[in-house]
Amino acid sequence: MKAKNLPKIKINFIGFFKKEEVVEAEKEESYLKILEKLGINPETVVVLRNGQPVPVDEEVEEGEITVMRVISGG
Amino acid sequence: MFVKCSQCSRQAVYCQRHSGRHLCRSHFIKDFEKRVRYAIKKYRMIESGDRVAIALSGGKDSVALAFVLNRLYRKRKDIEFFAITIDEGIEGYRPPTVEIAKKITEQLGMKHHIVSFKENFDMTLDEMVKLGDKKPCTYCGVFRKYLLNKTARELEATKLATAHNLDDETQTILLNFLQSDIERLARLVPQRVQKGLVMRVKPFREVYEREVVVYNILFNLPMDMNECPYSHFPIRASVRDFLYDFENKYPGRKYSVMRSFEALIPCLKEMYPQIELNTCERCGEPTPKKVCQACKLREELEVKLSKVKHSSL
Repeated sequence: MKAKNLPKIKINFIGFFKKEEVVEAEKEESYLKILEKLGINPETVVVLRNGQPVPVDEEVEEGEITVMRVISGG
Repeated sequence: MFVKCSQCSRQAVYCQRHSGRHLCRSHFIKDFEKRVRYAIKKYRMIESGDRVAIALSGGKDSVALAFVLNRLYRKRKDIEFFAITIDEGIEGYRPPTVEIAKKITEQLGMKHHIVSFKENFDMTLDEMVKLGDKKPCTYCGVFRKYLLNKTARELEATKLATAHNLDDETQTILLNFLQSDIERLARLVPQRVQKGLVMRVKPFREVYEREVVVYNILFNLPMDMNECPYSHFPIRASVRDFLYDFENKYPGRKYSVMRSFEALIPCLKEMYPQIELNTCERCGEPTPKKVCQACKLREELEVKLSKVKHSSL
């Protein structure tokens, strides 16, 4: 049985092919883990919550985040 | 629960993996600007009496550069800044960033010069690409650097500041090494003085690209995240991907690449002493040859253009 109250996170992507995705996070998981599961190198993005940057090792919170690809060229 | 800043107890906005620190808004800004000042001082990029031209494409990096230089030096009466934007003529891509460049210079009260390929070479980059058989980046690279230097020099700049960051520099260092192009590597040595060429300076060489973006967001600076439609550098892209991977596994290694390069600077200077540049027979701009690369490309394009005109008659 799956625990019911896992935090749901809606991710808006900037600079990616996909526009958005909703993921279920484990409890006490960090954004680093979420990025890893999505196959995104944390060095190449900035994670924003409410328009402000958040440390990638911060624990996830239910709600919406933006993952912005920062690298250019090639 | 939010993560606290390692310097104070406020909410952190950034996890600086290479130092193992968390930084709040104000300590992030302090740390970022400290490393910009460190780079400037280390290579004497900006000094009393300088008139600094900022190469401002209107992309996120150059917007941050104009903003931070203005912030660090606005009280200095002995140093002047102005911006140069090169409009290559890339439909859909360049016009929005030219607007951003206008907006930010207006906001900063900075003089702004917009110079276009069309005015100077009678053709936009889009037109050159259609006409010629060279890659877009060849035309763009040669003509953009030509116009940047010429404009900066004519406006009596003593330095030309570009927004190349630690990511850009380490990619180029590694790329030149992997391609066995040590002469090109030597061109990355700071403080190269050559007649007719305005000295290039790179105040962002000690900051990560990701940090530049965070800085922009914290100051709510205008950002355009679009990519050039012509951008195509497959080898550089694979070097870049390797470096991001390596940095992710071993945070801080980009600094190791930079320090290794810096340790080699004395050898590079000895291996490739600076040669006296000639002036181009046709346009008078500096060149190691008799005719500069820009004039050669122009001639090729003009021949093609006259053939096209001839055949359509």
